[in-house]
Amino acid sequence: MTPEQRRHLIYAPLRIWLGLCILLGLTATYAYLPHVPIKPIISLLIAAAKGALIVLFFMQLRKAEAIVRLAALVGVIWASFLFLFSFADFLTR
Amino acid sequence: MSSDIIIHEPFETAARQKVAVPFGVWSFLATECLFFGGIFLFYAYARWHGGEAFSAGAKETDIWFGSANTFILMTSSLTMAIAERATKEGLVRLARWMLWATIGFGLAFLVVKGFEYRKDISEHLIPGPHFKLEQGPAAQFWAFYWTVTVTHAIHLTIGLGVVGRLLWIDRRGDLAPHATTAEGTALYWHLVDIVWVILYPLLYLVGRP
Repeated sequence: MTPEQRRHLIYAPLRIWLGLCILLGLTATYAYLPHVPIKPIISLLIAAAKGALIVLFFMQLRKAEAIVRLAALVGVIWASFLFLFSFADFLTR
Repeated sequence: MSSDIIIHEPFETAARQKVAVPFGVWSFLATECLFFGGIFLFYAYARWHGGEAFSAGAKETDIWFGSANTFILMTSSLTMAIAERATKEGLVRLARWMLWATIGFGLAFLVVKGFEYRKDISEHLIPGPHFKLEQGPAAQFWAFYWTVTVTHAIHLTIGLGVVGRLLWIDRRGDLAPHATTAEGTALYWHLVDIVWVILYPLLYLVGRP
């Protein structure tokens, strides 16, 4: 294994994993802190950050072709329509 | 990629296959996004409608099991990412070890989940006649818990199957030319991890003090 391969194969994924572990520690700690605001929103934002790390680096969307990124984006956009239209109904009844 | 890849039907060139595989798998993952989106929509509605009574149900989940499994699954994503990159680089020995590690972590997740289910069942946390909490929003939380965790476990078991298939290809001695197969497998495995990453706060953190 060349030093370049070691960086790409081992160190780069390890750094992402370390970031995920730190975020896991953060979110679990925040959930137990007394008198802190907007706990559900913070925990979901941290989950989104973890998801972004996995999508961009482990799934390598950062370096993917435009058409592949488009396919990835479609799922999120359509799911957001699902939530948007459903709650547009629930909240205005 | 350091080695040539095997070209599958209907592709005529390796370059086309290298774009088509991630495009196809991501398109499938988009449907998964909608599939789980529907389940999450139930959670959002029940939480909004049930309020504190819904969150009270979440107080009964065991954060130790949930956190351990989050760590295990994130680590399996690490080994899967290394396995996929090693396959592309033709480092088959490293890829093989990492694929076995991924299967090991996947099985460990299911074992931990099994112990968690045993605890949940012994505490009567299944909505129905002997349910521990009040019927209504708390029961809806636990209906969500069972539905989504079993669905996730089925996805993970399928993931074990597709990772096992890569090891089967390796047994035939041609893992390196199947780099695009490894890429598609890795994408699916990572999605199963992401679903759990989103579930973790919804199931285990919502009910904390």
